[in-house]
Amino acid sequence: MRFSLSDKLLAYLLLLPAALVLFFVLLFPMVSTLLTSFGIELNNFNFTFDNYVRLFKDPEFWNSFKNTLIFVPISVIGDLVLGLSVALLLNQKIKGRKFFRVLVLLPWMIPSVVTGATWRWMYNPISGIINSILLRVGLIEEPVLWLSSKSIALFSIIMANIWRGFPYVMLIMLTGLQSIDSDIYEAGTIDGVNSWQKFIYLTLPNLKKNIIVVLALTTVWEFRQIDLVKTMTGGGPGSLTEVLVSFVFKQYFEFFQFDYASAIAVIMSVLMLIISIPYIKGILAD
Amino acid sequence: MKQISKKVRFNWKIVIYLLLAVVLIYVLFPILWMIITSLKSEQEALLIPPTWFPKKITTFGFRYMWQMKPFLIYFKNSLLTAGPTAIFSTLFGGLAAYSVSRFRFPLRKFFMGFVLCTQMIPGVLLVGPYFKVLNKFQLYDTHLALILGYTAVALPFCTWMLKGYFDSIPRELDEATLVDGCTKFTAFFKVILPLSFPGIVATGVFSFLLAWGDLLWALCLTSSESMSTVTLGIANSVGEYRVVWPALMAAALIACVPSIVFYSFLQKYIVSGMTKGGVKG
Amino acid sequence: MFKKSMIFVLLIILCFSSVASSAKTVVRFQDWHMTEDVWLKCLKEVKADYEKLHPEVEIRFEPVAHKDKSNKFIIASEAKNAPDVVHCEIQDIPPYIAKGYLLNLNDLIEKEDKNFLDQWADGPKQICNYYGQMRAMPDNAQSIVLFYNPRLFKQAGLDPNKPPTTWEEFREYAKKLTNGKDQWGFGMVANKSASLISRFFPILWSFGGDIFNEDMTKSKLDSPESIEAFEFFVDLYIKDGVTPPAPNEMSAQDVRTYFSQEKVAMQFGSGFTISIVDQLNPSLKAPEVLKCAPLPVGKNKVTFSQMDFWGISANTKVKEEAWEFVKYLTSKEVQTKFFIDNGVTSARIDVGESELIKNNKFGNVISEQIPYGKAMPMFIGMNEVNDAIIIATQEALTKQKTPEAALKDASAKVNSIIARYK
Repeated sequence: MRFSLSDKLLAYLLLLPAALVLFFVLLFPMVSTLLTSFGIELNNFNFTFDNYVRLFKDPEFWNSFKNTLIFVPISVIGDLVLGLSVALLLNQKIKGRKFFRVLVLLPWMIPSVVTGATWRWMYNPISGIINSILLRVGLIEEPVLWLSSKSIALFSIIMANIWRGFPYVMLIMLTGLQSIDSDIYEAGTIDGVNSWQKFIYLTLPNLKKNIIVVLALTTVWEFRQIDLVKTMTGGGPGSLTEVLVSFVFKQYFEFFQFDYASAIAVIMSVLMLIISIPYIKGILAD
Repeated sequence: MKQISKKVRFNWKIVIYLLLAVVLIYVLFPILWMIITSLKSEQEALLIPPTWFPKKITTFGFRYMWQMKPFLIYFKNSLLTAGPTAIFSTLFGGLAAYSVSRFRFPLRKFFMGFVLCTQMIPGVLLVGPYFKVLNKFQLYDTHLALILGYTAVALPFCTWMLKGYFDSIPRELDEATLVDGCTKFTAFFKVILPLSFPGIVATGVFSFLLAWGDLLWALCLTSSESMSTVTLGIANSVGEYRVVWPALMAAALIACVPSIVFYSFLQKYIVSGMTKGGVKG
Repeated sequence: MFKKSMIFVLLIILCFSSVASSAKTVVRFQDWHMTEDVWLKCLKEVKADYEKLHPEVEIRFEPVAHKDKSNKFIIASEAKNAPDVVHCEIQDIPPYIAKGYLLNLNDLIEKEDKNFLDQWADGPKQICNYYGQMRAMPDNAQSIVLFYNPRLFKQAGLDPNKPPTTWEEFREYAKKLTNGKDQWGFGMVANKSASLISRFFPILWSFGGDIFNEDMTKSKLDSPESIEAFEFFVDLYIKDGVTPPAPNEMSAQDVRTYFSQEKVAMQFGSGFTISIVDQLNPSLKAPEVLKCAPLPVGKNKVTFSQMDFWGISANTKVKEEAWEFVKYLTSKEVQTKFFIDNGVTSARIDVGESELIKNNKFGNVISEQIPYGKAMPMFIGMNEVNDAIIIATQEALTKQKTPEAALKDASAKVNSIIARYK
């Protein structure tokens, strides 16, 4: 017995479970954030742009905005490059690759609070292992102030962030590589192209969709990433490593500025939305 | 001619190993440091400057963590939230992705955009209002609250990832089954699902780890110690007055074990490549 | 089959046990101390004793890490589902009251003896008092004092019985105690935490500087005295180099770690310091070896009042039971136990001024300094002010700005914060 639903209806039905969960969990918070950012409360429908005006005048907001625009792209590109390279390496027929495939995923499995605490400790000028080794080997004469120098503090966090973020990219790339027909490569070998050309003309085009997905998701992901900044520097020294999401966190939990935090979050979402339009177009292009 | 190609291949392998070595140092050094620390005594771990290897290897950290914290309960809670999260988000995400991948309907673009947008509000702001929703449904301090929350966070990622995988399966294949008399729905289970299994597993691993490693939601949406997850338990041991480094590291390493087991078990599906054999038309 | 039935039986027992426990009134209790094992042991004993006295009540622990404690309480309070009894620090009190998270205890207190509140010192009581309403109960009252290592003093040719008494002397001592390699005179805490605030404000006040003017309408951070104090503090690192590198990464705990390993000779701390240092390095024998003294004096003799409080959630459903428990936590017996187990001195007069504390080498100094203690100003935007000062300190320490420019920027920020809350 088979009853035929119209395709369109089936299409919507398939979306239903996902949509329901998203609505249940996120609809109210999203609406509430938007309303709060305009100063609207349940018993008070007064509408104000004050929070947005304040935000545009707030140098700390612009500072964290700027830091986010450094933090996110470098992290995303780092994740992608490292993830793709490791996936390519582990796709080769080398000894122990199964073992390595598990090993390189470990950074992703460790709770990021611990990751932050551990990296902070490793970076410490006196009690940190990195300076200890570099000093002993003789690469440096004075301990490097990884998290306290104006020029490198943010990059030190990015290093830890890429460490944490790349395994996920690697996993997606690995599955992408697995689905490329080995026949294509064999055809390539016969034609006498070198490995680099193979990578550019055969591998990359086949990974295009995966790369778009990864770029879209890691971009959003890195925007939301807060644990490392929070545990490693708390945004310091001064506000050198303050990013938008840690700024929101601070306004909300430390300063009790719920409406202001919401306004920043809304701006942040708009920013992310603009950035991700090409991705959305890319993934839906046939 | 043959010899040259052999030589080239040989050098290529050295390059691979060298690269692998550099990456491995970056990737593994912090983990190695965690393992080393977990085997030190509390006092040694705090030495300034640090010792590179434990002077005396001790299981103090592991014992301490096990005695001080009800880790079995934590593990149970984490499994009971991360497991269902992985299943639900992959299933729901898979259905949605199939719909977007194989059907043409007006809200398609909107849905994919909307799904991504839901991820753009930082969790800090979501968790408060979500708490109020949970109060309405009396779900505060339950596994279900966390499962639903994590599923909502993981779903967009799953949908996007799976859409990518489904797209890579040639449409002729499911059309072929349609000719055989299947519905589109059964085509999903008969063709798409098996063929994109590596992707589905990767997505499942992703959602599992997302739920496993989260702190903020677990912190705010549970109250009793009997509901605490592993990550929350570990975060709680980074005390204001005392960080027992060996125990913290030991706990973090132990916390990885279920994920490692989970992943190792599924790894063969991710990398087997078994699925591709029949695809070529 | 046997196994299955066993599991079944177990399940039934579990169900019954949960039914049995749910018949009791549950008082939810949040305290960051539950994540620290010395304190946890002590609190568990308190819980057991209390439940013996009140068999109809179950105290349910809700442990939370110190850094997450207010996040969790805010979210829960906003959803009107907060723990009944909550441990607060002084900087939590104004915003919690302003947001209406804390219950007005007046009618509960009225039911007690007439002289009920007389047992507490005035300073802490004033913090809890919000336009005549008691919104919390005082827990401990301590003062920040100077801890030092007499052994290192001797090595540097200093008299271990004569700790520095002026800030200039303090700086000279610190220089002598620094070898520039692996020993420093002073352990500065300058990470993003309230620990920096409690350790810098005494210097600020001592130099004659202040955060606000008297009626709290304007910042006084740009006054010459404030700038002088700030420069003195920052220069301890930048010019004198008497504190370990990157103080902006150092938490109070990091400094105690250095102190316990004799890498740092002097640090600021309070009642809790010694027991932690002892735990960090038992071979130092901290309680015997280390000493403490009043903070050095500048224009004023002043220290920072370190205080904690017990609050009851405004949306509690077990008001009476929660109050009973708070009364127990603030009782003479429990407060004495807190001192014996953890070294914190009580805000209760009959404990804080007891022979027990007076005869304790550290407790004595700490309680003697309490009259000179100044509390953090009770201003609703104080967390923002503190943040501005912390940022300025870190900017000066990492040479992003000169100390004067950094503090003037902070002062401007404080002025705009005051204006916003008007």
